Amino acid sequence: MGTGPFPATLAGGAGPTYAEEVPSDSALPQEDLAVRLRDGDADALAAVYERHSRLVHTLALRALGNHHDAEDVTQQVFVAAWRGRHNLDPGQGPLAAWLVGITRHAVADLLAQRARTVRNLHAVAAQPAEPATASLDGAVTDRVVVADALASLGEPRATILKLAFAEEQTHEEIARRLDLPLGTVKSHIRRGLLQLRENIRGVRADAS
Amino acid sequence: MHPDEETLARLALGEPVGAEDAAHAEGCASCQAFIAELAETLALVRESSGEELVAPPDSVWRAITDEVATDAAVPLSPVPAPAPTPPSASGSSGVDELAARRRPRFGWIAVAAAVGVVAGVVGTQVVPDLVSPQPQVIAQAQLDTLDTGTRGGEAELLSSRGRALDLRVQVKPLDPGDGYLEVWLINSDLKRMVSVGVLPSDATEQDFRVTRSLIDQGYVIVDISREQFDDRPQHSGDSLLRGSLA
Repeated sequence: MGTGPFPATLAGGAGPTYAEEVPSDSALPQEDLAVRLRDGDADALAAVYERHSRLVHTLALRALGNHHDAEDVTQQVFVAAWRGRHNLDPGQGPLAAWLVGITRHAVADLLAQRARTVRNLHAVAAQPAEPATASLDGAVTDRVVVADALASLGEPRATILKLAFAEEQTHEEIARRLDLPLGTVKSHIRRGLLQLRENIRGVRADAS
Repeated sequence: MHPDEETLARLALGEPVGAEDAAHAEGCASCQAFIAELAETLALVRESSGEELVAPPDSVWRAITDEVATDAAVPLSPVPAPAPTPPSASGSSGVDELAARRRPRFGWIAVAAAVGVVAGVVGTQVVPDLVSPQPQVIAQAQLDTLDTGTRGGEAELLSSRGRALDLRVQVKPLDPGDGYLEVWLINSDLKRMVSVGVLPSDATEQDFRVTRSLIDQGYVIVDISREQFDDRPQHSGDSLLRGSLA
C-alpha cells in the first residue's frame, strides 16, 4: 500500500513552513513574560527560550569549551527555569539575570563533576590532579551579556551602535553608510546606549 | 532639576549640551553616577565587539520539551482518546505510543522556537501573524474503503497557534454494527499505530487532538475501524476507511 509522500517540512520538524508560529517576544514586555512563565504558561517558556537561549548557550560554551557540555547545560538551565518558575519574582530585575544566575550554577556543577572525575582518574593513576582551569569568568559573562543585549536592540539600532563603538566610525560615516539622516543616527546612539545600560543592569557578573 | 536621560547620554558621549544642564551635571553626584554607568556600558560594547553569540542546535529545545513534558506539573491538554489502552498491532510499540501521547503540547513550540532562534540570529524578519484565529490545513487525506476504493470521507490536519494539531475527520455515516467506530493513526512503517479516539456513530465530522511529535514520527495514515466491545484493545482488523495524510 502506498502511503503517499508526506511534506518534508512536516516530517522533518523545523522548517520555514512554521514561521507563522514563531512566538513574538517583541510584543511581550519582559516583565509580562516573566509573569506568564511563573504562572506556568508553556508558550512563555518557548518565548523565553527564543529570546535567551543564545545567551545561556554562549555563556556555557565559553565556560566549558565544548558543544556537548554547553548543550547539556543549556538544557538543564531551561528545565530548571521551568521547574523553578515559582521562585521567579518578575519585579526582581531582568529575566536574563535570573537565567544567567541559573547558568552559573549549572556550569559550576558540571565543572565540579568534571573535577571529581579528573581527581578519580588521577587517583587511579596515582598522579597529581591538575586544577580545572575553565570557569564562567566575570569578564566573559559581561561581554556575552552585552553582545546579547546589543543584538536584542533590533535594527538599525544594533548595527549603528556596533559601527559607532566597535568599529569607531564617525556618526557622519555611519549616516552615509546606512543612508540615514545624521540626526537619526545620533538619536539611535543615545537611546541605544540608554537601553543597553538598562538591559544589562543586574545581569552583569559583578551585579549579581 | 536633573537633566533628562538623553541629555546625560549626550554628556557621556561627549556631545554638547546646554550650559545649565552641563553645570548641574558637573556638581550632581547622581548625574555623575549615571554618566559613569553609561561610559562603562560604552566600554563594554567596545570590548564585546568580537563576541559571537552561538545559538544552541534544535535538539536542545526538543530535549527540554521532552523533559518538562514528563513533569506532572506541566498543564497538559486533555488527551482526547477515550480508548482505554494503547493499542499495538505489532505488540512492540506500546511505550512509544504512550510517550507520544504524553507530549500533547510541546511539539509545535519546539518547531516554533527552533525557527525563532534562527530568525533571531538572522536579524529582522517578517513578524509572523500570531493572532490569526483561522486554523490552517497543513495536510489532507482522502478516506477510501479498502476493498473497492470508494470515497467515504476525508481527513484534515489542522494547525492553529498555541495549540496541538487537530485531526478533523469528515465521513459519510458509517455503520458500527454491534460495536463502535475508532479512529487510528498508523505509522508509515505500517508496524505501529495509535488510537486517536472514538468516532460517534452518528457523527459526520469530528476533531481529534493529536500531536506534532506523532506526525513527525510518521503516524500519517488515517484509519477508521469497526471495533467490538471486547477485551482486545488493539485494532480489530476491520478497517472501514483509510487514507494517507499528505
